[in-house]
Amino acid sequence: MLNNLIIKELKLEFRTKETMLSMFLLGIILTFLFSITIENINQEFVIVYFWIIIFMISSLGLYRSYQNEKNLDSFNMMLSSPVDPSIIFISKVISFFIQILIVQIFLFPIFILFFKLNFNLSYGVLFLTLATNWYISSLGNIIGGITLRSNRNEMIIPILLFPLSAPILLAIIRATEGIVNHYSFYDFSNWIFIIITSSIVVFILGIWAYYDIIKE
Amino acid sequence: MERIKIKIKMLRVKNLQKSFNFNTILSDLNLKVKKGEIIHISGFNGSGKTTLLKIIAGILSPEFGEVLIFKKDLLSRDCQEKKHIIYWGHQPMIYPHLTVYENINFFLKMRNQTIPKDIDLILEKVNMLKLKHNQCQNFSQGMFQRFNLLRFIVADWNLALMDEPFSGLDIEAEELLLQNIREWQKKGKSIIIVSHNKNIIHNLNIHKYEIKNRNLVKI
Repeated sequence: MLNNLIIKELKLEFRTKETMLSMFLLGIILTFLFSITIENINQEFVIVYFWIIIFMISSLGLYRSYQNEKNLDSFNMMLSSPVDPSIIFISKVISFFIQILIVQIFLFPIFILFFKLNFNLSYGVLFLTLATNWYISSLGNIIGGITLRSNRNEMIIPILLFPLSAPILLAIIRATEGIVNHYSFYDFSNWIFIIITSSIVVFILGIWAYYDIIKE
Repeated sequence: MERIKIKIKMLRVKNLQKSFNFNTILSDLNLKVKKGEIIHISGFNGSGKTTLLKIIAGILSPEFGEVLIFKKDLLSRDCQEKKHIIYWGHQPMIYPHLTVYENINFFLKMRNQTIPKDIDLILEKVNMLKLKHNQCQNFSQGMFQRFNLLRFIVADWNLALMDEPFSGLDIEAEELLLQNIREWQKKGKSIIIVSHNKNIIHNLNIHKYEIKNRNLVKI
């Protein structure tokens, strides 16, 4: 069942490319604007900008994803089927995680180019990126579920996503900074712990609460 | 033997209550549906007909009350009994960027069913064979209704919830739907129909109810 749901999500996305293309284009525009307006930027700020851009494009992607479910009442078909809503949540988290990752793969070289960075991608940064993507996808789908019955989801998703992501944003910035600057692991291990724990907790919360969230 | 079959209770709705924005739509509503019964529900716009069907289908949650199918709670989190129910809503409940075949295949997989081998024959029957590999994004209301009919023909179910199934259908499709409803009834399947088109419904062997003052009244 999970496979079918993930395949459906990805098939719809790869066929229309609506979500990923709009995320990628917004990412390029924001990268361009940040890069031309700020001069002599240090590495710490670049990390901040990168993640702010990722959070912004994610809110756009989530809006598109849930808008597709609302069109023609498709989501109600899944609700009226004998499928555990937790499976629907997991499938949405996995498919959105894949979508953010693909957008990041294409956006990151452009980001490096615009900011003229000398950045070596380490396994540590890669791991933190994946964990943060998982957090964004889990939290985003919980918020997306909340907005499913609302006509204002284009507003509600960023309004809820940004404040609830602030601690993770801080943690990923501090942890990436620690890895890139080769600080002692104990100096930034707390931030890594926050990212991993939050990703797991939010994912489990989604599995547990999605049924109650999506019901009207 | 036939009499014993007819007495089997399929659906039981007990003391149902539902409100939207503190406005009570349904209150203390009770309904029993037996095997092979067709129930027609009428009522004014906004009286709660669609709300009732959506609650039974598991799309909406009531504040109070129970919905039991074959004595099992339909409102529980992971209710496998939902496989007995099929819902025909105002909207087609399909993904516009999937083809007719992909949509029907996905719908059946959600119900742990597989696509029948004679799918092309069924598609031909509902006049959708030519559209088998077409995406549904540019379909008219009538085509969406034909797709709903297709879902009802291919899926395995015991209780159908049909909300205005005749709207948007041409005469040919209307007759096909009526013919199928009669066949389903003969097979012991139960149907709850909400329709304003009393002329068509008149031809069926049905029990008539009306939603009045937030409750169901037998006519």
